[in-house]
Amino acid sequence: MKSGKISTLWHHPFVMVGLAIALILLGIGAAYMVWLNMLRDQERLNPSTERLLEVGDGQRIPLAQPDPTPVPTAQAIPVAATNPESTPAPSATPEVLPPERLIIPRINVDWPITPADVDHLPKFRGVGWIFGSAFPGMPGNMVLTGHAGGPYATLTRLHEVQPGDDILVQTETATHRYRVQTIYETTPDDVLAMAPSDKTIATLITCSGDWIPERQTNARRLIVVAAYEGMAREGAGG
Amino acid sequence: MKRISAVHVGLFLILCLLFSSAMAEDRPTTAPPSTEPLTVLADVEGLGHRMTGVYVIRRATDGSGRVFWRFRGMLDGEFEEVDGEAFERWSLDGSVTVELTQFNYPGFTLDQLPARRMTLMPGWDGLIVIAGVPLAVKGEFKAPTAGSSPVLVVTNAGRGARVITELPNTAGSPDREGAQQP
Repeated sequence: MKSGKISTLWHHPFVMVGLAIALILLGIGAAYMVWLNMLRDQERLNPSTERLLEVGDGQRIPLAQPDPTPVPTAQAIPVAATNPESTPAPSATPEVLPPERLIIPRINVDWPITPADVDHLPKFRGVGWIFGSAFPGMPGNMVLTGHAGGPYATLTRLHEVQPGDDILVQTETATHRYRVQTIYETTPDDVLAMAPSDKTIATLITCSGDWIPERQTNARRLIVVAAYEGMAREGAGG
Repeated sequence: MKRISAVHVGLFLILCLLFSSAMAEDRPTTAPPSTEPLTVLADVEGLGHRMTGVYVIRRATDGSGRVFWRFRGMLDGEFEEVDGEAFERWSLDGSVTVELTQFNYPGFTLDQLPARRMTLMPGWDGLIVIAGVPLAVKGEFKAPTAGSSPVLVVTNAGRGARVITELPNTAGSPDREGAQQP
C-alpha cells in the first residue's frame, strides 16, 4: 500500500518538476565549483598578476620586482599627510606608497602620476607608472612613461635631460630623489628597458624617432635611467 | 572627476569593499588613530571597462576597525580619484567583514551604492568572484598589525600572465582628441 502511494507521488507532475529543478540547481552548483577550482588551478600554475617581458628567442623574464619590504633609513622625512584625520604611525621606515607626481626641474616637468599598463596609458596629461614595476624608494626598477607629443604630451622635452639631473618623485608622504645616469634610444621591442633590477632605479620612457603612420607609433624609444639618491628635504619637490 | 555611473561604482566597489569596514554606530569620534598603510594595486577589466589604479588604505592599529582609503588611477584611460572611510571587523574564525561608511565623490552618496558590506571567509585562497567577475589577489591580507603584505595585487583571475613584447606606445598622434588635466 505504502509503495503504491510513493509510486503515485512519484508520478505526480509537481514532484517531477520539483525534482528536475533540484537536479538542475545541483548541476549548476557543481559546475560552479568545478569552474572555481579550475580558476584556482590556473592561478596557481600561471598567475594573472604576473607580467612577463619577452626579450627575444621566446625567452621571458618576470617584470616583478623584489618584495617591497621597507628598510629603515635615517633619511626618511615625511612631508605631509593627505588625510588630516588619519595620522600615519611615526616610523623611521619609509612607507610603500605609489608615486603621485613627477618633477624634473631642468625641463619644467611637473605632472601627476597614475598606475598604467603598457596597453592602458593615460588619456590625459599624466605620467603612467607601469603596473608591477617598483615603488618609489624601493629596490627595483620603477618604470614611468609619458607621451612625447599630441594632446596628452608630458615628456616632450625628455631628450633635454642630462646625466646628473634631478628627477623627483612624490608620494603621499615623501619626495624621492633620483639622479640621471644613462640616456639612450632603442627600438620599441627592447623590453629589457623595463626589466627588474636589484638596484633602486627609475626608468623614464617616451617615444622618439620618425612617426610611422601605419603603426601609429614612432620608430624609436627614448630611455632615461636614474639612480636613487634618497628622500628629498621638505619642499624640495615644490 | 566627471560622471559616475553604476558601472563605475561597481568597479570601485569590487575593490573598495574588499579592503575596507563594520558597525557605523561604533564609529569613534575622538582623536584620529595611528594607522598602518596597505597599498592595493588593481588592474581589473569587467563590464566593458578597464580600471588600473591604486588604493592607499590606512588601517587603524588601535583595534577600532577604522579604515581610511583613497583610490587614484584610471578608468578607461581617464583620471579618477575617490576617497572615503570604512570599517573592518575580524572574527575569531578568521573571517573579515568590510563595510564602506564614506564614499567621497562629487554628486554621489553612499545610499546610491548597490552594496556596502561584504564578508571574506577564511580559506578564500586569493580568489574571489564579485558581480560575476573572478578576481585574483596576490599577497596576504590579515588584520592590522598581524603581518599583512604591504602590497596586494588584484587582477582578473584565470587569464594567465600578461606577456609584454613592446615598450609603451607613447607616440603623440596628431589626430588624437584634446587632453584633460586632472
